[in-house]
Amino acid sequence: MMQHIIVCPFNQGLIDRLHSRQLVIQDNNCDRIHDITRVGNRQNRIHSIFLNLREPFGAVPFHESWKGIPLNISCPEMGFFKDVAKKLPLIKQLKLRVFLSSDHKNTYTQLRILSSLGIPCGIMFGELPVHWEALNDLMVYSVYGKAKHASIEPFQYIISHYRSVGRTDFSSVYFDNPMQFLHCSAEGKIALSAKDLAAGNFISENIDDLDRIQELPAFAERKNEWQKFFLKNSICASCPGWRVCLGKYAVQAETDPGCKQFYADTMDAADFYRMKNEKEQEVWR
Amino acid sequence: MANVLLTQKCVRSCPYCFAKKHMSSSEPDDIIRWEDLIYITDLLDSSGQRHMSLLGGEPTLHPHFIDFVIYLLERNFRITVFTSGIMSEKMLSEASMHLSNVSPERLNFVCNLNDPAKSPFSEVESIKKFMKIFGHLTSPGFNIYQPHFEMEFLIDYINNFGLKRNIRLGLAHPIPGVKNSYVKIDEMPKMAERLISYLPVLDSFRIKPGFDCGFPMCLFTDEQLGVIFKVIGPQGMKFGCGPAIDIGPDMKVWSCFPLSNFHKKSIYDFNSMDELMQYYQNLHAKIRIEAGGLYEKCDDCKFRQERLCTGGCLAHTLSQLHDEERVRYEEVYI
Repeated sequence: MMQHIIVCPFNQGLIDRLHSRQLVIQDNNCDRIHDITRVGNRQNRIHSIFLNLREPFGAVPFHESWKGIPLNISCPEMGFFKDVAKKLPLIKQLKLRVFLSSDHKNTYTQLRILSSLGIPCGIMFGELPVHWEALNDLMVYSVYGKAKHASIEPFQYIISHYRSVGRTDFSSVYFDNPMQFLHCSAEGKIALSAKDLAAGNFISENIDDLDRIQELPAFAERKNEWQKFFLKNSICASCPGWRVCLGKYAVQAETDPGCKQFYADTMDAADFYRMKNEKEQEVWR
Repeated sequence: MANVLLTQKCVRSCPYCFAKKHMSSSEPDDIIRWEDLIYITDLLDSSGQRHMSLLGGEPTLHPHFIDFVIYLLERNFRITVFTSGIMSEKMLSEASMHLSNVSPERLNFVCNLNDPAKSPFSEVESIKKFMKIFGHLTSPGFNIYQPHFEMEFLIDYINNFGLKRNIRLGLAHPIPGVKNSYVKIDEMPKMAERLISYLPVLDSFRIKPGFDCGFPMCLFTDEQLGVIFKVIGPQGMKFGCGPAIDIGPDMKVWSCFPLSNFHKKSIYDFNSMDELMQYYQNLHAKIRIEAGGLYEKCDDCKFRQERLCTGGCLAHTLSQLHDEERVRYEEVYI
């Protein structure tokens, strides 16, 4: 049975209770990176640190000592390009992915800048409606871009995990796929997603249930939740992009069907990527 | 290499301006977007090219000018900025802070200089401030648009501000269908004589002028060619005219400014810079079949056949065809 990776806040007591597990430790303070690494690696293994910051990416005080630490940094925006440029030599040496919020109007452009400079990055979907056309342009750049550039998520995840049959759930990019990640509160309560955790919707309030989560009825229900779209005959059920979107934008889709084109184009891009890779492999057969 | 127009705005109104036709038909507020600059950079990169020229209008008027230069340097590009040197104190101070220490191997300004005696005082003062900071990165550029011209001020600028000791000599060309100042074909020998008279002086200051496109070889006598050879050297003796490849903020491409209205295409029509260049080279070749060069004798000139000279600027040739009966290949007409 696969053991889940646990997404949890930086809390020493909690981390000690999560003995021998792989962790994604969330925090919002850059100054604690070393403490997190020390505590997280004591009895557990750190998958990565997820820093949710309020300052722009360019204002993050990157440090030489962060080299080798797997970091995900979520920022509202890139900030001034000059600030990023000054830190580029160091940033390029870090094991880092930066996420920028889709709520900022320049995010789509800024992600393209960062990717083209070799910085792995991704879009963090915020609260405002997604700008589908801009997202599609960014996806096209990410997949079809002429020159070498760093990956942009979730596009890279989708094209590299996509199969011509079955579903591809890119929630893993955001550590939010309950088949792979579970969320744990500071008190040791367990939720299937970040949203559930925030809403206090726990699957278990006992940390000892972690190893038997997959036996709980609520887990099986969540696993098959996608079927509801077909039972309810939702607009998403007849969408060609369903196998990748899985109804994540069902609410927005009712009023703005822009997601349909985006996901259809993304699947075309994934097919293109798969065929390109197959073609490249053929040379060696 | 490609010339990328960051903005259509300019702070000057030079009588010879090659960009006049293009600017008059463009929105002045049209500025290049980050996405488009990245696309162009990628296209050049994937075509194995690592040099980009930034033009305008006045490229420093673009709100992201400094960011763009830093970005291109990060992408390992060599950059040439064609500027008037006229900019606000704020821009100059910011540019100084971020760009003045870049290696001359990687960043070069070509400052297009007009005779200060014919320019407004404030303009001259602004250019001097620019040269004071960026002189070590700057090559002076001078456009000849009338047979009689003065070049002494260039020597003063080079010596006073430590500019690079080479001058980019441009020859103003006609823009088919537009009125601008340029040296007429029959005035060219007079212009050549004037130019040659400066060479010994420039040589004495160890200043090497270099010809931009459009100078025909037969403009100079054998004796004058000897002087040019001695002062400039064989590598500087260029008598060519070919596609420069200009890219506008709207992602339209064309051969060069004087031909900005001639077979304008979208950059997205091409998969590589080589393909783009090939398209305009073929077009140039087709016109050269119709009319070899500036003079009738160009048609069977051995130097043209040996590709030592292209027969002057193509815009001159097209201007001649402009008013005639349309009996040639359709492609040669605007």
